[in-house]
Amino acid sequence: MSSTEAAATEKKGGRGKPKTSKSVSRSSKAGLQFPVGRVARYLKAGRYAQRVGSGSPVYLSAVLEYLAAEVLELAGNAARDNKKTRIVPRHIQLAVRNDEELSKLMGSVTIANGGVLPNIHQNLLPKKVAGKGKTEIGSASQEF
Amino acid sequence: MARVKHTPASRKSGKKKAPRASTSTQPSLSSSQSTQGRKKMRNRQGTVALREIRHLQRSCELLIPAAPFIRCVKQITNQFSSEVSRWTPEAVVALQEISGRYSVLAEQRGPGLLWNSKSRAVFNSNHNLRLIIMQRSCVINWFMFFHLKKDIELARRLGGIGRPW
Repeated sequence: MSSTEAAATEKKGGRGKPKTSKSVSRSSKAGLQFPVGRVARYLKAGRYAQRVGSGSPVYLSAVLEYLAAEVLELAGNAARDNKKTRIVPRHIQLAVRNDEELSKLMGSVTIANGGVLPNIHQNLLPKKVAGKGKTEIGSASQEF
Repeated sequence: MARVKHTPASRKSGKKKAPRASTSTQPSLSSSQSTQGRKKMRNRQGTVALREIRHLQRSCELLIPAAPFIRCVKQITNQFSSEVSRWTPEAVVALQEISGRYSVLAEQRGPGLLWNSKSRAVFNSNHNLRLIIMQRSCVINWFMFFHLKKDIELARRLGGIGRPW
């Protein structure tokens, strides 16, 4: 009797997942920081299609994470150039507008409190008279 | 009690300057003549404008003053509907941001569409705005001290935005 009960309990314990195992998130499985489960929920709730594949939220999370990392890296570089340790909207604006592809992506986007790129047209700048010494140095350095 | 101007005492460690001779060769000028003789330092034309351009492009604060803008928004809101009369501060700030952004883009876009244009054209406004667009090059002379209605209309007409002119 006892042996049969023990066998039954072993069988029951063998079925499915053991209770002691911890749940692992899909973000950690994919090696991502962006939430895969939340993106999947948004895809379902948005009714973009009747059904959503299992790989699509992972792919979309990876794409969003890459874009965020790209913008943040450039904005961090802009903040460091300005000798600041905190990223403000001005740094994001400088990062986006100085990058050709990001500027094309965010062409019709207004960043609040971002300002504009420092740019003055050449015709508005005062004309500088070149000295004799400079012209001589320039002519001497040319290759023949 | 009358105020007395206290001159700071000379430092003890430092050497004292030799006193000037009271009798000078030139006759001493009166106070009015001395102020007239000293010229006020002036910058060349366009130097201060370029300095202001650099300063404003470096900064990123709102350029439209808040109180007049809110009054303008309330007035336009009242024209369109008497029922809706309240704005949240966040909405007003967002509208102010977008308005400033739009005005900056309109200024940039006005002559911008005509750059590198093959046609030779000269546009003159009566109010200090002169855009001279030559073939394959753009030479801009902006003598614009304040924006008038005609100037804004000209910029919009050149840019091709807004209502069909």
